[in-house]
Amino acid sequence: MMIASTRATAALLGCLALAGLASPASLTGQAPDQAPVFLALPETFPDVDARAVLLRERGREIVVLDPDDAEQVESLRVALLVLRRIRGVRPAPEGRGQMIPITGYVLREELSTELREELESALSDLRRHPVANVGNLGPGRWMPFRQP
Amino acid sequence: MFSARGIRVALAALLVAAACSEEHTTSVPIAHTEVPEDLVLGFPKLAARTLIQGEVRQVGGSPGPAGIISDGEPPPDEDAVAQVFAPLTTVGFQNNYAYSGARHQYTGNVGRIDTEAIVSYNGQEIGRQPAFREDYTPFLADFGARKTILAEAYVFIDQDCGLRVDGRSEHRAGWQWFLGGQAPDWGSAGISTQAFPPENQPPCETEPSDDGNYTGGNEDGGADGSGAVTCYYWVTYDPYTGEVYDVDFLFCEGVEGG
Repeated sequence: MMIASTRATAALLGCLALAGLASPASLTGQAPDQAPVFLALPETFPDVDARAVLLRERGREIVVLDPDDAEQVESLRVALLVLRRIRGVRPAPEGRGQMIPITGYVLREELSTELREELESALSDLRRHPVANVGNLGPGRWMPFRQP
Repeated sequence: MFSARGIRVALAALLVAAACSEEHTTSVPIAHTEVPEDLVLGFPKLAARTLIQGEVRQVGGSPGPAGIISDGEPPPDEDAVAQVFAPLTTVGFQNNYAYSGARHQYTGNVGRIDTEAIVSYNGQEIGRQPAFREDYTPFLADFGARKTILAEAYVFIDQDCGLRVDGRSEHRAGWQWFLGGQAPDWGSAGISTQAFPPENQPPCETEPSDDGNYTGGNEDGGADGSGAVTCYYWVTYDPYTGEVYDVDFLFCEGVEGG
């Protein structure tokens, strides 16, 4: 189909611009070039001495939480802080995976009530998701995550 | 305002934009589907020693009578376990890393040290980095000379206050016919040591917040103090096979909140 008039061309460009604004990245509140983030809660945590494990691979970032962690909210908070920190330090790998086991942490302050509620809500949502296979970690739950 | 042709062009553009929009590699499971979708993930399988610093070395045997102590070395500890002498663990901070260093003298053709640096913040442990060193002298080349073995576990840090490092070590010596995990050994002796006192960084300075309350923090902390001090490893792997390519050992730092 040929674009024969200036008015038609303007309409095309305007629609393309609107389509760009409605991309999945902007709807999730993430930067356009930022990998999507997923939360995963396997029924059996992998054999790694860690409070949480970050994975960056295949164009996405995954936070793996320990189902037996009594402080999952705090661990999630720290995992997200570390994820934000390492994005600025090392670029996402091309063709390779990065695994970051977080062995321990100390929060400098208690979480604010608002932040705690947001994170607890996300974890509750995660626990409501149906059980599926979390890759080779076996059964568990997972979901995409929109950071508060 | 727009011609029919312009409207058709606009609709075609929308279809093209929708088709070319970014797709996630993993779709979102929807609550109402009967079969939840699996997460495609190849978590790497770490071998037991992947995150341990260390090496096994074959060192040359030194001829000579047993019991010779080089000039400047401390006299043997009369209470030491047979074949292990003067075991010691020390800890400290050095530029951008914390360490646990261990050493001992030994007789026997195999000497080994397992040491561990333990990092804490505000009295709470946040990470451990184990390390080992094993020195092997071929049995027939070992004439009973006293040898020295050293080992060090180090933790990279990006935090200049509030951290403490402890160190614990296992010192061993013995005899083996040949080098290898299944080689029969005899005459082994071992002893444990711990660094005392542990080493502490200066305490983090507290600064009053806008409401007058004091919050902890340091140069790298967030202004609102809601960050954390944490330790983590960094493992690079093949996401399809799980093969581990590279390991960056334990790193401890403050991460900003906000």
